Amino acid sequence: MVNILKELEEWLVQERTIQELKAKAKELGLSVKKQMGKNDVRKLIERYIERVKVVQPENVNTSRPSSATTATGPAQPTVAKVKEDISVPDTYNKDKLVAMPVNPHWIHMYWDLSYANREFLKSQEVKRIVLRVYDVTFIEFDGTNAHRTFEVTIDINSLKNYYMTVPMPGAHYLVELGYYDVNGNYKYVLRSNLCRVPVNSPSQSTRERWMDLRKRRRIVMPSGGMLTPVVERISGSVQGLEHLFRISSVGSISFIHLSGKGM
Amino acid sequence: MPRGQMIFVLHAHLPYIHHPEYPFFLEEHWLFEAMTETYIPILRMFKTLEQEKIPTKLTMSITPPLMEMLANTDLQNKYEKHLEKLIELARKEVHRTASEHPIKHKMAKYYLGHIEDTLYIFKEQYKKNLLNGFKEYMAKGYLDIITCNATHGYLPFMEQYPQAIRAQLEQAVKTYERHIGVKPRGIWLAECAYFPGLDKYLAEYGIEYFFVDSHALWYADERPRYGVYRPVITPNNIFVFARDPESSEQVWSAQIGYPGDSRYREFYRDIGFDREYEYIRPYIDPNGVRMNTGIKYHKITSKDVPLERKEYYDIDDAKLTAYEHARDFLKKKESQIDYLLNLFEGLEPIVVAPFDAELFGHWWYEGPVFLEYFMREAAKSQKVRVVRACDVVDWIEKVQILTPAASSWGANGYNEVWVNGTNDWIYPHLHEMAERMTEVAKEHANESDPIKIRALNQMVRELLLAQSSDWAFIMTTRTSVEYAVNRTKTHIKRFLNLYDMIKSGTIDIGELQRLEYVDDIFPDADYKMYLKI
Repeated sequence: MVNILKELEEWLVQERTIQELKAKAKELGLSVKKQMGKNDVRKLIERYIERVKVVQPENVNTSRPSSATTATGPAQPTVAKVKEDISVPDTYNKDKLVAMPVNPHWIHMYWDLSYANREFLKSQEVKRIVLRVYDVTFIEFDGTNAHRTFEVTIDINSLKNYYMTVPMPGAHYLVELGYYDVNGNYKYVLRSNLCRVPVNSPSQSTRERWMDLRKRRRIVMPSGGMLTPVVERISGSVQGLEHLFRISSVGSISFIHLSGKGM
Repeated sequence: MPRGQMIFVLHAHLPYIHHPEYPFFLEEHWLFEAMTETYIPILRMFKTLEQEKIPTKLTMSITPPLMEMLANTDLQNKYEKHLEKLIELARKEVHRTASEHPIKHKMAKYYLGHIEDTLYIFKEQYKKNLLNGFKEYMAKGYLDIITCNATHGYLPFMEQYPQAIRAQLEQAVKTYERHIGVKPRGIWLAECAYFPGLDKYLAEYGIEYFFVDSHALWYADERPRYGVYRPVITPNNIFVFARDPESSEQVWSAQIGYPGDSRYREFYRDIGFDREYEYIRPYIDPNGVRMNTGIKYHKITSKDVPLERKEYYDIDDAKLTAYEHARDFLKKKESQIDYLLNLFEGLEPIVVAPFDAELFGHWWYEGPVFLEYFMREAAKSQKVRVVRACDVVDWIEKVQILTPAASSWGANGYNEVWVNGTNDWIYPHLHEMAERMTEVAKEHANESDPIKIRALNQMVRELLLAQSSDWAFIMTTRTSVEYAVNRTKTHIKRFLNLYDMIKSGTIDIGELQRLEYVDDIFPDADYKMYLKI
């Protein structure tokens, strides 16, 4: 590979016709456009050589692109090898409102806006921007028939997402990002996906269904409840995260504990 | 005589970390440490028990990224070099400790022999691919290997994108088949994360069973008559096994758990940090940063003793402790089974004990020895029969039909470990990527240009790698955060660049080639997975 690159470099140094250059570029799988001049194609090939060189082991710099701080070791600075821009966009300029279940009492919402809507929400028309949460559990929502409706005023200049406490475990929520206009009327701009928060109590159902796998038969009977007494854990409080570090209190943890095991 | 059954499940997983452009990369050592301390000791255990003709039954998930890493030639060669260096260091230690302390010297000799044996098992026995070992014991009926969704992605956060869920499952099945040779029967859902409806997708891929945390059954749509002590079946005909909280508590708990015993090895004292700099320099990060070597001479001693006052560790003492603990654990399982048998009026309870595989050996050095003793003792038990999950699926005659509740095995049992203030910024990107992947897959559904197909497939790799739940988890735990943040951003950015290339119609082949080289997971990645909406 290295030799091929060298040959290619030497080949490129010599005077070449536009046809030769284009043929070579195509051979390399580069996308050559009709209107490209001699220099354009030459540059295209040069760029290819640069790229491929990066991948060659002899160009490998032994400095490390990132650091993991070991528990007992000092943190170390990051040294980038391939200068790769890893900045990610702040917005995709797309209208989107997404609601995600966090636990039985919390939902997380984030939003993104198109340029037009972003500008509109800054206009005089808009007096107050709100997030509205509807409890639409088991209903065909038509905008007016929610079981319950909650609202919170937000500042979309400083916020891109929000965590909201919701009262009903197991409920289905729908969120809107909307505003109150000059006349005090509510209008929505974005509507979210349906967000089902988890349940945190045993079922009230009085039914049990069974499958006889030998006879391939389903059996339905009244529920006798659960035979095993259970000591439940109280869930849904953020304070619980220290359990993630449960091993450390035993005396052994270093860089990472790779799964979310906790109780 | 009626007995209870027990399923021991080890979930073996590491995120895909391979940096072929660097001869040394610190985070690749997560894999090396797990190989030396967990995976090889488990294979060693199988061999020992096989020679003793002890019936051993273990269920293990080996995740697709872990399979890909274990089968990767570059990582295999790096691991071999790593072991060779370690042997060199262990030899020096044998000389050096002769004049230091008899227990230390004994341990230095132990480490040398142990690492040499590790290299032998790795290189000679399994030809550098540990999957050969696991496959061997699967064929012999000791082991049930199950898969895990492709990159350990957190499926509840893909609920709006069925195609993203399907891609995670399809890639899981394909990868398992490519390495193991048959289709997987069971799956470990990353973080045990389940939401009602997920079973429908599992059914599409021929999955027969999966695992959930206890409260998935406690809070299921109908009450589970036998609690977590019998598997159930979902309306889509997938078996569900639920975690027994008692077994986990006995092994994990800070108060009563085994790994905290004073005679066990102390994780934090490592000669990578204890030896003088000039001496240890060749065996640590070439950047000069100290790191763990795996050679450790101290025991936990007591939780209240500071690190510098820990006493010397003796492997024979520790093994004796592991033996005591294995017997204690078995006794506890027997009495639990007695109790349950009584409640169930003679119906066999099935106790499921799942753990992170890396707990056994890596965190709890004596874990594999404990497991070996446990298997040996359990084989003699009149009450407990250790079985694999697939055995139960084959034998069971009558099961309750339930839809498990949305849940995970993370702290507090739901989703908050994977969405909170430290990591919520990733989801707008992950969701956008799923949408864009679907968009370009549709636009190029009949693509014939091989370069464009390669670019589309590389987008799949970047998306799947970005979806690893490990990055969000690491951000939450605040360890190695920088690496996790960089990895996430890198995959997002590479994905977006490829997307732009596809949209503009001009593929930068040099860059594509580079990405295929640096993110070299899943050679069979196929963008058409995202057409399955």
